Amino acid sequence: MNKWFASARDLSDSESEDSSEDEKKPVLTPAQTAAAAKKTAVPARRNYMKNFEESSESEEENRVVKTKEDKQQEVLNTMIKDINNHLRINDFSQLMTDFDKFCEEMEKDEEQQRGIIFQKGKECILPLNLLRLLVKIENAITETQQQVKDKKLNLNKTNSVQMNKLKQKMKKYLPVKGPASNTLEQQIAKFRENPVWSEDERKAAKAAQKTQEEAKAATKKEDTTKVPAKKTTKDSDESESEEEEEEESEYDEEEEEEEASESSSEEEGTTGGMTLKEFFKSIPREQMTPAQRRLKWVKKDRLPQHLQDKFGIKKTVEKVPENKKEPKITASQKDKDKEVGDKQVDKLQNALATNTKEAKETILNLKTDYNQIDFSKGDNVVKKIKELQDERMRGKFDPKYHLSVLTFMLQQVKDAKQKVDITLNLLNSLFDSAKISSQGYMGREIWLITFDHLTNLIKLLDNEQLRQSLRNFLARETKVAVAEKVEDSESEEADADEKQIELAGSAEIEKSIMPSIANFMEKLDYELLKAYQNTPHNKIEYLQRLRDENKFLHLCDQVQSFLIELGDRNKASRVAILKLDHLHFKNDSIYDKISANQSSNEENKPYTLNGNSQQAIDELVQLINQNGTNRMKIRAALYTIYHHSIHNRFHQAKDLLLKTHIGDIINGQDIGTQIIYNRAITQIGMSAFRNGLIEESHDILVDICQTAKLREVLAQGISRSPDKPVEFEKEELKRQVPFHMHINLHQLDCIYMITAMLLEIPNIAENQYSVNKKVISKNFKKLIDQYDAKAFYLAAENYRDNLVFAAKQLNKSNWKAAIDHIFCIKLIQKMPEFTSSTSSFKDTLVYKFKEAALKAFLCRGARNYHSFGLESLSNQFDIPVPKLRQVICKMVVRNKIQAHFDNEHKLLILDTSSNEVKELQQLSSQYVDKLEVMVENNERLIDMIGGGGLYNYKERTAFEISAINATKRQKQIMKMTGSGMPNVSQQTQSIISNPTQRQQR
Amino acid sequence: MAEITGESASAQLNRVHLHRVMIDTPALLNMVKHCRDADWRQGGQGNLMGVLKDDTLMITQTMPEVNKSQMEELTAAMENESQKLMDTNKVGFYLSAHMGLTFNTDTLNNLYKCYKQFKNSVFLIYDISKANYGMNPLHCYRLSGKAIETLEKNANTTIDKMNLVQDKIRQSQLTIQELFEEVPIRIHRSHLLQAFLFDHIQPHMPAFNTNLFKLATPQYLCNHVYQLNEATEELVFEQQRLEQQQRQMMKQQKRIIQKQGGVSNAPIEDVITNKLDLFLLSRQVDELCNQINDCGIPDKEMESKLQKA
Repeated sequence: MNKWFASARDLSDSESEDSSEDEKKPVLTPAQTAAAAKKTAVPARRNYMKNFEESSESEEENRVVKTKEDKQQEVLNTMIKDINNHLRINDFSQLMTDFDKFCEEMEKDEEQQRGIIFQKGKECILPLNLLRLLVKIENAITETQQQVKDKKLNLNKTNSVQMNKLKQKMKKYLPVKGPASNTLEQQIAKFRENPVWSEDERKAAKAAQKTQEEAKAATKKEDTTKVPAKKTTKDSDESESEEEEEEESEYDEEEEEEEASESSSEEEGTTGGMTLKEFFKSIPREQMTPAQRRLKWVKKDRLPQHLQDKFGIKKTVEKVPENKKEPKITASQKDKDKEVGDKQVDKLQNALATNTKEAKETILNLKTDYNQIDFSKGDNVVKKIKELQDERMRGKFDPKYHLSVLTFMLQQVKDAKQKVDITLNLLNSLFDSAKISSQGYMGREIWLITFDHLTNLIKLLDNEQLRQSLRNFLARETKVAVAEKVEDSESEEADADEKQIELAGSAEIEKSIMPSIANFMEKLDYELLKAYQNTPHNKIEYLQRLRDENKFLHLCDQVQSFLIELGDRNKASRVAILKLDHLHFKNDSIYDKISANQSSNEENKPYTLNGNSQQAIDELVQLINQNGTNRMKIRAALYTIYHHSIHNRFHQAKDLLLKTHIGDIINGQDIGTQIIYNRAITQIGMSAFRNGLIEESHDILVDICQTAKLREVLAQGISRSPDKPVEFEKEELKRQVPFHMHINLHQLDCIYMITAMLLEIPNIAENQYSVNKKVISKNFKKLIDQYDAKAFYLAAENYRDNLVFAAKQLNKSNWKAAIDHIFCIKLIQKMPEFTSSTSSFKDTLVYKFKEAALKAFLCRGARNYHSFGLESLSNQFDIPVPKLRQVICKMVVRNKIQAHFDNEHKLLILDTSSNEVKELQQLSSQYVDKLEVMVENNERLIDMIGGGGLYNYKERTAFEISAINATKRQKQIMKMTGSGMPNVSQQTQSIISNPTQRQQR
Repeated sequence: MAEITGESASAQLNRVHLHRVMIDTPALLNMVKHCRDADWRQGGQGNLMGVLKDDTLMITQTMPEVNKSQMEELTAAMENESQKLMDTNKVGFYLSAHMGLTFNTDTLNNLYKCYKQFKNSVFLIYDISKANYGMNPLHCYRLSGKAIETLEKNANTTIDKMNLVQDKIRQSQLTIQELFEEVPIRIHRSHLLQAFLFDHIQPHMPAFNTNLFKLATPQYLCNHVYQLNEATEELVFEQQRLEQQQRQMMKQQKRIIQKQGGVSNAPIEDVITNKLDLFLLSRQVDELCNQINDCGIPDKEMESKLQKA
């Protein structure tokens, strides 16, 4: 045969197939229909080439020639046959493999676009025969399961196992397959709505075929939207070929004829504004799916529920419940509610759309009929809520749908209790939706909606009746609790449980309200915190959310007063700690400024506390201390300390910290509390500086500032290191403090450095000649060393430059230049205490610099001068003589200089003493310390190797530590008082002289 | 200069018990000059050349250390000289030091290298600071037999770095004191040389000038204590490092034991950690203590107490 003919024959064959095709073979190859051929020119040519090659072979070997499509078609056909056969004998293990094959084929088809299963242009729409097959399989499974349940049928084990597997597989596979808007599951569901069984109904089948062809035509235009409720006008589609239009118009005529005959017999379908016919006509054919188109032929009482509702076919059924017990609500009012509900839903969905990554249209479309349900009936509401709750519990939570339904319901329902119930559910759903949203936190719109609902909930609960029931419930609950306590025996427990169950049954809502409100407040706060953490602080969104804080605080007030009124102080304290969390870091001056600039914005009233924050905080703390948990109490105390500190009440803050002994237990607390502790400590240190207490400030800040992880310790940022696990980092990110609560790290650093400088410079001068230079602040030394390493000194640019220059000047006892440098630092200039006329901060700081310069000067001069005139010293350092005496006396007492006053001549006379001897002593004592450490180390090592039996190290430690501490203290005292260097400590002597002694101990 | 007998030639190869080291005066003076002229910080270092005769190591010549190729050239030139006036076989090295701070890894490395070439290698220390204070500035040490044994055992495992491991230490029962052994030095001088020496005594060489003998001053003590402090601190660090390693290893072993499920009572001991630093640092501390004892007043009360105990 000629190759040309061969290919031509193939073509004509397939064409004839096409024409003779009935519903058994609805699957068309792309090369077959003329219209399709146009579109798929490329694959067709490829086929042609294939034919060319194959036919050339066939000339020689005389084989039956089949195109690839034919082969694939055959495979498909045998597969279908197999499945049918296996279905008949209930062989599920075979079916399982068949189904796998089926899936494989489908995937292949989709990938290669060969168009055997999915036709060109209507990808992923399964042809009817295959769809039918799937439905058959599903039916078989359910039937067999039912039979097995009824014990009519006995399946062997493997078979039943396979069946279950198959069921699971289908369950998993079907919703995933296909485009999101039209998964196989939906296709099947649609099919089920209007089943078309070729064997059963010929007529229907024909209709189906017709619709199928229509569908083909329609889907060629790739118009897959098919929302029945959408009544958009028919828009002309240019891609539509004229031929097809003609065909369609023919169909239309036929249909109209048919419908005319039908509508004459059934006139009831005209309610609801338009008839069924009109309805179908109003929707352009292209916008309908085949299934929808098929509806035209379906008897009206078999129409799907939502359509029936729409056209009021079952109106009589609906009327009955409406008349039942419903409070009289006029239809117009209902409509209005509906409208409002819809609006609310729209608003919500808008908000959601901005948040959720991909709106799960699928489920929503399936359940879109919720606004047809009449929620003014109590039963419906209860049912729906139950349904939604179940779904939420089972993890089938679809935020958009749930929220829409609940919001809609809320508008419809009039009963207060039910409203509360719905609101509770709605709030839960809102918070859940935030959890699964793409951002991981609530967007502002959703947050505001949530906030509104929570506010409304409080308003709803203002209802006297509800309040009364709540009160009753609480009273009963406490009674039960008391009863439990009194009985206090195990035998009665069951009784108590029963009571509780009774209680729970009688007042489910009441039971859930109280904890819920507190929970909601906590969650709302948490969402706000997360939003702060995730929003860049320089964005306008951050400011917007900051304003939301005011709203939140006002709500806190309401909730707290509500809870207190009901007598639930535990929950109230929970709210109080939230409030405290938002209040503790705000300075009174902020409130002053806010009240000064207060605009008459009713909507977003700033939360000012009337400028008296201390009282408000005291009240909150009192509430928490009376009713809160331990953790809350600790936090409350730390917040108070923080608040005291930022108001420069250093001593109060310090006393409170010492009084509460939080420092002793802080290591056992959770990390969040520890961070608050660190922050509070930092603030105390800074307040000490502002009060001019340099040494205290340094002592407090040294621990915080010398840690390498300053940011982590204060939760104000994270440092990245390659060996840090990702989970660790995530945890740290979760703990971050919002930006507006940040402690200025630069300021902290600056303050710490200044305090370190004021202590270190005299120290350096003092230890100028000693071998072991004691460093007070490593950070400061590092800073200086860094600058010393530089080749050039430029003019000061940042605060660190200024600090270094100040330090250098101070080292030369040039206090004026030093203080000038310090006052150049903006971080200091901007301190409110710096500018305020009432605060002595500036003067104190200057005095401290003078003092440090004086000390450095005297220590340095001690070697070079015999005496100083007090007058000249007083002039040089601008310190009055009495003060000067004070400082010098202190130095003499502390053995920093050896000197005495000559009162007659107003002189300070320095006593020279041999420093060399001192040095040896100093070194010796140092060596003794080191020896101690060495011996200790050695023993510990030996002990470790020997298994702890040799020196009984652990038993000894407590005793030893106290001994070591005692000697250290003794040394310290001796050093301070200057009574010479201590001898080798008692303890070391005993160690050296009597090593067996320790074993006896 | 020195006669080489057949016996001593064989002794060149084997390690013998050294009775003493004899050093020729010109060689000594050469060394002292070099050490004194050398940079204060870097110190001087040079080669000792000589010959082993029975149980006495004769050092007949000292040469400042120069770079390798030059050294080779020099020795070749000396060997080629017709009269062969000088010994050219290296028997060790000398170095200048301050306050006996010589026991470090470098010295040990050098000594071990020398040992490989010549089994009876020694190293000489000329301690400048000691000499300044009229103390005996010359010390001669060599590796003890035990140390060599231990080090040789490890030689296969590590090429570059010297390694002392616990089980090896135990095998050869090496102690810190026994790491180096001191060899007495005798300065060999003929009468002619003696006369020559006294003629040329320089006032700035107080070691040889008894007229300028100084007592240990507090400053000298201070320096020693200071150094002792430093050395002890290093030792403490080393100890802490060892402790940490020990702890880690114990943890690991415990984990292994837990995994195996068995309970072993065997003492858990570290066998991998390098203890060389610990040995050297300890030796250094020991040396410094001895030096302080040398110049300080011995605490008799303490001694008696210790004896009683």
